[in-house]
Amino acid sequence: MEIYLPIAGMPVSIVLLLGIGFGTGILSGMFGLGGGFLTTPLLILIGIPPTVAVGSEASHIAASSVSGLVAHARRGNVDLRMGLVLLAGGTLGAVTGLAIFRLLSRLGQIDDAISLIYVVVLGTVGVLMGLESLRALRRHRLGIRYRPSRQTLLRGLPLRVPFRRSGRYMSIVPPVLTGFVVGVLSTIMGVGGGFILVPAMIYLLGVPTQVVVGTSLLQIAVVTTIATFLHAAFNQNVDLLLGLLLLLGAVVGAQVGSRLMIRLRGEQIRFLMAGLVLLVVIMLGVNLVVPPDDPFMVERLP
Amino acid sequence: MRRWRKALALAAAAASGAVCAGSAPAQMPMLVDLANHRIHIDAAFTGAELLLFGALDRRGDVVVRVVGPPADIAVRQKINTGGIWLNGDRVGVGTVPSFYSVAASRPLDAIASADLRQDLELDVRYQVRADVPDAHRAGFIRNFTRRGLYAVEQEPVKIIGGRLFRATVTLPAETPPGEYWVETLLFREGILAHRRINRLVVERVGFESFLFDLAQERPAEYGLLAVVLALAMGVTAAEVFRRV
Repeated sequence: MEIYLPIAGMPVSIVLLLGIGFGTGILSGMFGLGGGFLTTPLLILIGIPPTVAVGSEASHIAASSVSGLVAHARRGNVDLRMGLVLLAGGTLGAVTGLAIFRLLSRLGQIDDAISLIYVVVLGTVGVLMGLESLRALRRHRLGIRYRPSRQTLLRGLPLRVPFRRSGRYMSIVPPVLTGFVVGVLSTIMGVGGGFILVPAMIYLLGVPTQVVVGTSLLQIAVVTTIATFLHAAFNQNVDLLLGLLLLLGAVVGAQVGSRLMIRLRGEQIRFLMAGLVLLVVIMLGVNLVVPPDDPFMVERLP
Repeated sequence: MRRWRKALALAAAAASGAVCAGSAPAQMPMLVDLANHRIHIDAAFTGAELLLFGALDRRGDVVVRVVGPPADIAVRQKINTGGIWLNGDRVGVGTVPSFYSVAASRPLDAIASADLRQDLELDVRYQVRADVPDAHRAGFIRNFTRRGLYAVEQEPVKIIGGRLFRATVTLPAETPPGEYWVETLLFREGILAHRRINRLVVERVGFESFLFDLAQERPAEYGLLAVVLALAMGVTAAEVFRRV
């Protein structure tokens, strides 16, 4: 059964969209991510115009991260102060990201830029996380208890404040910068940024794992909400019907995923996540390197 | 394109003149109508078939041309840049029909001479500005043909008993909404004998039209709606699954 998407201007199978939503929902429930880094390329693959894929995906992640945020807040797993500091950077990042998105759109390089940024950012995160989780898996086999270092490279910066929920006393500069980078990438790439934010909070900011997911969801929810509005208001590229169908699949998938996650250890989850991220990188990388069927691309000018 | 539009306007005037001046409808060389004058894009739209039918007073060759609303189009060539395929410079193709199809009762070169076909701009090539590089022009036409937006001599006009004819034109799923002109040409012994014009409207209706118009005309309100809807859905989902 197909449904005509009003903004994308094409019919797409309802079952396919629900399926994509369900699949990414499972992953987001397992890994605490929005899943946009997987959904956006999939949407582009099935023929949705890239800008519409990015804009609509923002609305999908906004909804699914709010859903996760409410559940985590109920369990007290959100560090509000850390979240607000990340957000201060994230909001600035989202606005900067939209400006870059519009500039690249005007230059006509947006499709290539999105693919390239995906490959570089996801490739880096995937490799780093894969190596770390492999080390952790080996330590587990050898029976060594690993305690992540609480001393990060970012000591000695000004504006130190206590983050009680995270049990940290540190400068607000690293979280603001982290939030900014994630905000820029979210808006350009149409993703929540969880796959950067989660490792950054664990490895860089030293936030305890149980607080990481809830706090990153706060940042993701607010940034993608702003991004949804900005995309709709300035680019007219948010297809509500597309976002809605993805979301319906995602909320069910997220519940299945969170139940699967309980059976796995942290490093196993991170290892699987790294594999998944690298798979997407390979898929996109191949597209950039393999000669196109027809080198001529046609675009409609407004 | 502009030249063609002018010719179309002249022809439309001539056609209406012919109707007024004609002594009796029976003496019209050709009558034409569309099965549908409006095509609706609703949530279930996956493309449509436009059915055109007509009658001739005696034998002849019929050519049906459908021209969609104009669109401003640019073409880019993917260029291998250090092993990676990147978009090259944008080349403007100009204002071209967003949909273009020509169907004929016999192969076009058997119906009219090359000169006449060029005068009538029947070939899809003439819809593209002359100063566009050949490779880009060909690339553009190939792209639109692949997407079903340009179709020349793909489905023939069927003439029944030398007097009745019908043509079906396939409109693909991504058919752009707007005003279409359906032009039916009658050729006899290689000469254009008669020309009729029918108007066709392709439009979004219902929910599709509501959402699209809202997104285009009130982007800020649409953005707010998107945000409120996303937040409401998220909170609802969290509430529903808390109890599961």
